Amino acid sequence: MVNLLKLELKKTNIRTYIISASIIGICMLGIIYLFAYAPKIEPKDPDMKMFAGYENIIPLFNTICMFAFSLLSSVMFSKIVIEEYAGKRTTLLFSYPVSRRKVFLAKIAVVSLFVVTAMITSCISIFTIFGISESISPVVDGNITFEIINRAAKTTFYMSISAVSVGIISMAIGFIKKSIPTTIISSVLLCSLLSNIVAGSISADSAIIIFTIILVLISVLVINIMTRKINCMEV
Amino acid sequence: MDYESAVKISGLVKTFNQKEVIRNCNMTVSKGRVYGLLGVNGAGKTTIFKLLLGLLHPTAGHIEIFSEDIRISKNKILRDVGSMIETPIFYEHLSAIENLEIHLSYMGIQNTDIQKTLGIVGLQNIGNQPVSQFSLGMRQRLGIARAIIHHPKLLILDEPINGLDPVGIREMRELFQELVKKHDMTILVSSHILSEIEQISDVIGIIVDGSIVEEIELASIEKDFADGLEEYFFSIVNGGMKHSG
Repeated sequence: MVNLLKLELKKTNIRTYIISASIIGICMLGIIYLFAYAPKIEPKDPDMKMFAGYENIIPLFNTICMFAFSLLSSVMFSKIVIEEYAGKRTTLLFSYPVSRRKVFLAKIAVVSLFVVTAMITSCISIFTIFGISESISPVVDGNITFEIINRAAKTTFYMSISAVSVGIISMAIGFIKKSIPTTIISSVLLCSLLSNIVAGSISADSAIIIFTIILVLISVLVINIMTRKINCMEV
Repeated sequence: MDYESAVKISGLVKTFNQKEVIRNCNMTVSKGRVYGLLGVNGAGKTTIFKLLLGLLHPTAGHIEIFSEDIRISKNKILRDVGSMIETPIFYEHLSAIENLEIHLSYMGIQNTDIQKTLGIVGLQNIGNQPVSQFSLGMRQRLGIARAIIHHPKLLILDEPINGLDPVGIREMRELFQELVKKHDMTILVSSHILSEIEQISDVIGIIVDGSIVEEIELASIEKDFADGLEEYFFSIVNGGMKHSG
């Protein structure tokens, strides 16, 4: 399996995705400052209260981050999975004496590990930069406590898993049509829907955990269905 | 002379959307020989090759390669098979060497001289340029290199000389003959260039409407038909009528 993972990495032009993840990271850094400054732009606007305090900004920021990295994961799944199984490359892939299931799982693992690592790394970098700038010249009212840091870490972890899960579910939808645009559009629609649900219920830890578990369970189910389909695929 | 069989197909049927594309097909390819599969477009040549590689599942019938059933021992069989079906597909952003390294890793083979194989197919000194910059002929040569690099016992080549120039065609012809003689390979090749098949094959199989209607030694065709394979081929596909064109 390790060999298959290495092969997938070798086959994939991973540099493109590292650049994409970095660009997302830079945009997200802008987003967190935008959220922090929002109440100061319109201080009298009651809607701006949702950006007041770190305890509100961080979960909102994580939700937007999940949205962005879900799109990245759906693009990666499109290129690495859909493109491989939809085109003529399947003839090559299936003529190797390797279990189709293992090859498919290796592809899922490569994308999942990349997206989780990229999102966690981006968030840690952004929180570090934001935290340092806040300790020098605070924009947000309140103090950065250990509890806030702890919650930020937990939310980032769960959201990164959710981002991968959304990518997997979109990939399964795209796989039915064997279409890259379907995969990406599904991801946008799913993210829009889920972001609204998450943003509304994110104040409770249990809500985000339940949300992540549900997405992971659906992902496992669709991976199982896809594995069976790939095993009996004809090319 | 009796030969042990490398490929044995019996009663093979393959249907797509309830249409029989391969119909009660029987075929025997002997070890250490070059078997030329001839047929008009749509006769079922590529479908048979895909069935041999396990890319398609037979609706009925049996396929045995080196006495192993493809449905039971597919992965074991695939280790001993090299193939090039339709247009060869590569990882375009990678070099020829990297493409072959990936192929060898999937095949579970190490320590193979990639440069030597590239030299054999006439792709020496290509450097690290990505495959996306290769010409049609270079891609075809690389496809053949990929099919032979893991030293398979059976080589399945679907239209292998498509896109090759006359020099390339001659080089590949010599290569196939060398692979059979020196490396004890069995080659199953399809082409619609009759003269090419005539020059490389020991045995000819003619497929008409999804069924092999004739399997014959090339030597006996040459003996009975003065105009060679072309006359024989048209006499079979036209149902005994001599081709007038």
